[in-house]
Order: sequence, then structure tokens, then C-alpha cells
Amino acid sequence: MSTENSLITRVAADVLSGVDPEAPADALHPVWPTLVELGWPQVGVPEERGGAGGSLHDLVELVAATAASGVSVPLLEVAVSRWVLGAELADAPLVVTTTGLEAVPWARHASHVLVRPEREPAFLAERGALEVVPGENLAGEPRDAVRVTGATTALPDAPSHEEVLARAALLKAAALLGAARGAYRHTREHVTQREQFGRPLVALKPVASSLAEMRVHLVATEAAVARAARGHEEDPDRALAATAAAKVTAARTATSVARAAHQLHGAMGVTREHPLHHVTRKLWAWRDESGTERSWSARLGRAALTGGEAALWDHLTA
Amino acid sequence: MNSSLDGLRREVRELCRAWREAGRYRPRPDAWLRSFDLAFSKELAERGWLGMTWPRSVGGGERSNLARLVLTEELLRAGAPVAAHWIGDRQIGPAVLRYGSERLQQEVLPGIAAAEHVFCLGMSEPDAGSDLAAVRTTATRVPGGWRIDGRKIWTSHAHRATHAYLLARSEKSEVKHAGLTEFVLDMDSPGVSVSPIVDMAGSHHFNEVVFENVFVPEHRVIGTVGDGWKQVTEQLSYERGGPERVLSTYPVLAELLEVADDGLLEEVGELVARLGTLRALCVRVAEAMDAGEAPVQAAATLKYLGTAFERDVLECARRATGSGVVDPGSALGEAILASPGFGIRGGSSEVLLSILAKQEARR
Repeated sequence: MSTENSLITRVAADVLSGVDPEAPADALHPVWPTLVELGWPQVGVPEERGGAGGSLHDLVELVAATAASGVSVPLLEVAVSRWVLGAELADAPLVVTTTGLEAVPWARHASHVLVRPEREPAFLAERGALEVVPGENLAGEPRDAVRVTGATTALPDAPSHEEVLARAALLKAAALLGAARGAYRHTREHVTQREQFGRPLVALKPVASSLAEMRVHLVATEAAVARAARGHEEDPDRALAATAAAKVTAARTATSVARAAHQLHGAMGVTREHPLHHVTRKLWAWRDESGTERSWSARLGRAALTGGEAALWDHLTA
Repeated sequence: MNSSLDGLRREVRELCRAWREAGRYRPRPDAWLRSFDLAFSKELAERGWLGMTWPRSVGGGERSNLARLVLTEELLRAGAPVAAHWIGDRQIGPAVLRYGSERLQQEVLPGIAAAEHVFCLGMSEPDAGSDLAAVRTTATRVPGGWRIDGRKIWTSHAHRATHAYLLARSEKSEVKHAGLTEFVLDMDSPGVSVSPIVDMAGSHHFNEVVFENVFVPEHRVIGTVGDGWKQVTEQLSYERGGPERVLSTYPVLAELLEVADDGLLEEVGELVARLGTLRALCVRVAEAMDAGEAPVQAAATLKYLGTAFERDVLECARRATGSGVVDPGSALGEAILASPGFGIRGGSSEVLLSILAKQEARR
């Protein structure tokens, strides 16, 4: 039923267990080379295209497990690049994909940036051909402004902007699901172990209800993400709408789960020392990345109002 | 979806369209509780669409729960009059299949599948609503069976039902969850009286049912005497996971798409996203049941989030009305007046959350 206990998730959790989410400033997290070595970024790309095989759902679970551990790594961005490039540039240290130039994830660490803009053709730029102005998101992850100053390589065979955006958004929804799982685990542990008024916090009914509500959102988001992953693999025509639904659901979940997690942790959860912020800051940061919650909602709303009920129902029951 | 399910989907749509266009029903929100038409239920029965997941030996169709989801969601989408068979088909049939004796199964199930038996639910009482274990209706052993005395309330369609499911206390016990037993009884038994309870919209589907010295034969016990609590909670956990916990206000959403302006784009989009997620949960529940699992948590999640969604559809539709006046006879009007029931029936949201909370604390 739940994918939380699937084999791949357990394997991933083993790899990540005990890893300190805290990373040195301005360097990639020390666990990243291990994940590259294990071939995680190539999962979900067929072997004949130079990938590691496995399903998109496997990749979804790896992305979620990584997020749940609280570490920040460019897994999502590199996984999208590998899906675009296949075996090309297989030895490049770090190829990240972006759909725009304003907040490019991990640009400062990249060897190459693959750009799939909405209106212009796709291209690839080496780090040397880019001017990078550092920026970051709420989770402290690099989101750099980039200006092209040198030669670039055209990518005429790259997937469309929408396809790249949809794949990134699906994986972002998976990452949000993972971070929400992480927040839930920290919270459950806290309220079952910390005693106040002579008993564990979870003995307070509103606390138990809040925890249950977090769980409810996890169960729903899991179903939404799995549905979208299936859409990408089985029916590309419907992938976009299913992804939009998953991304909006995951963003809504992020908001309520982060709020509940901090509320139930009390002042304990607000310190730099406590691990909770490693997941809650990601929940806040990622809600509006790979397309904002608002833009995905508007897209779904537009499709429903122009297509009408019959089209909505067909998409729903596909 | 595979082609046999697509075919089923088309057939259900076609039937609803034909009945609607012939003026034989008006699409309504909350139709699974409010729109009662035995002729429509019999039409479904003739096509093998009632008890469709049950064994053929008891009148079933041996189809998958996924097929049943296709059927039920299309009926709900159409706002079709399905109340006559809904309780028997969804809830009592499966309960009798799980626990009933061979004889009881043969007596009850083919009748539900043929839309000859109409079931009502004798669970709640004046002093036992969410707290079902507090039922006071008694079952006393008499030669050849049991004598039932007590009162049930909120019994939808009792005035039209041929049979009742009944939860009663068969022994006094210190532990209130012990000593409960489930029965099937005939509504035309001597000593059964039904009086209407009209709801705020003026419609009559609720009733109070009084049982005075009503005889129920021995073989009408469902499952094991004294095991009623375990059996009924299982029954409830199964019945939570259907699309009627999501789609009660779907006809209102359909109308909303016709009239909403761009100012509501994002709000409509958010509803669409939530609906997509809830539908994915419906599929998850159906697939788990097909795999022989009991998807208790997914079903509870579906009901908890689904009934909240049903209400939020109405809020969005209200914002799309220009005049500021909602006609109580319109789909939106009917739905608003019906909406307090969404988060109460089948276990209130608060109780559902507290059940989930207990599970979370123990996990």
C-alpha cells in the first residue's frame, strides 16, 4: 500500500542514515559523490540510453528519501539532465538543468548548465561561458542568477520546455513528499518522547490530532505523486495535468506539515542545532519552485474552464 | 484504464444520459443519499451492476473493485438516483459476505443484487451517535431467535426499506465494546414502526425507527454473537473509501465550470488538483481491496479530505454567483443545505481524526 516501506526506499534510507545534513558552506555535500557512484541520478533512464534503468517511480522514491534525510544535493537537477542527455556528457562532473536563467539551482558548482527556456531553443553552456551571481532559496540552497557570456552548444533534440518543466515538477513534488515525511518523523518522535505535565505530549488530544492530520496529508500526497509518475511513464498526454495536481497537492501539504511540525516541536524546533529546519526550510523553499503553486493552479483552472466538465472528467479518470 | 473498463464506463454514461434526457431523473448533488428511485436501481440490477464484486453463487458479477469504482463514480458524476440500493450494495452485502452464514448469504445477497431488497442502517440511536458502542437497543434470546427492543435514529429510507441492518446489545457487559451483535431484520416484522424526520431543506429521508418486541429468527445474526463491535468497525472502515465521499457536490462543480470567470481560475485549479489527488486515493483503495488488503488508512484519509473538498466546492461556487441569491432548489442551494451531513455521516471527521490519532500514537 504505502511506498514508504518499499525496498528502494529502505535501501536509500540505509545509504543516508547517519549522514549529517549540515554541509560545509559553498561546497557540495560530502554524501553527493556516493549518490553519483551508486548511479542514483541515472535511475529512471533506460540502460540503452546510458541510464541505470529502473522506473520513474524508483527515482521518485530516491528523491523523496534524500529529501527526507535533510541533505541538500543536486539529485533532482542532475537526474533531469541525464534524462535529457542520456549517455552524452556522461563524465561531466555536474550538469544541471534549468528552465530559466534567474534562479539556476547549483549553478556555482556546475560544470555545465543545460537551459530549456520557454521561447528560445535549448542550449548547453559550460561553466566558463557563464557569469554567475550567487543567490539562495529559503533552505540555503544555491539559486544563482546566470548570464551567458561565452559560446554555447545548441540542443536541437532536447525535449520541450513543458516536458522538462513537468519532469522537474514531478520530482519536486516527490522531494516535497520526502521532506514532509522527514518532518513527520521528527515530529512523531518528539511528541511521543518528550514529556510535559507528566506524560508524553501526544497524550494531549490536539497534539495527537495534529500528528494524525500530518499523516493524512502524507497519504494523500503519496497517491498524487504516484499517479503523476504513472502518467509520465504510460500516457505523456496526461502527464502535465497529473503533475500539476501532484505539485499543487505537495505544495499545500508542505505548508500545513511545516506549520504543524514546528507547532508541535515548540521552541525546540527553531534552533540551528535541531535537525528539523533541514526539512521544514526545504518545504517552504520548494513549494514554489519548478513552477509556483499559483501558476500550476491557474494552469489547471484554465484547462478546466476552457475544456469544460467532460474534459476534466476524462483527465480525472484516465 | 483497460478496454473492458472503458466499455463499462461508456455503458453507464449512456444509461444515465438516456434516463436524464427522457426526464426520468434530475441530476442532484448528494444523490446517493437523497435520490431514491427503485426503478433505476432495478435497471442497474438487470445489467449486473449491483453486487458486481460478489461471487456469482450469490447473484454477484465477480468483477473487480476497480470496475465497481468506474460504475459508482460515473453514477455519482451523473447525479443519478441511486439511493435505493446504495447501502445494501456498498455496505451490508459485503458485511454479510465477510461474516454471514451460508444461509444468510443466500437469503440476503441475491435480493440486494436484484434490487428487490432495500436496506436501511440501524446504527445510530438518540443517545449513541458517534459513540456507537453506547447502543441501548437490546437483543434478548427467545425460543428460535431474538427479541429486539429499542430505537434507532437518522435511519435513511427506513420508510421505504424492506430490510434493516441492526446493531444491538445482546448482553450486558462491563466493557461497552463487548456484547454487541449484528442482525438482519425484516422491516415488515410486527413491532417495527417508522416516523419521519424532515431535514432543514424540507426533504424526508431520515427516520426514527422504534422496535417493540420484534422477533428476529436465529439465523439472521450476522457473524458471531457478541462480536458486533469488531464486525461493525471493520464494516465502517471499508465503507469510507468510496467516491461518494468526494463526489457528493460534483454536479455543483460541473455547473461552476460553466459560469466561473477568470477571477476564480486559481481557486478552481486548486479544487481540480485536490480532486485529482482524491481520485488517485479512490483507485488506491480499490486496488488494495482487489489485492485482498484492508486499506484502512487510505480509506480514512479519503473520507477526511474528501468531505472537506465537497464543502469547499460549494464555497467556490458561491463566489461565482453574481446575484448574491442562491435558489434553494438549485444544485448549489440543495448542496449547501445538505452539506452539514458530509462530515458527519459514516463517522464524523473529528471521530475519524481521533481514530487516526490513536493509530499514529501507537505506530
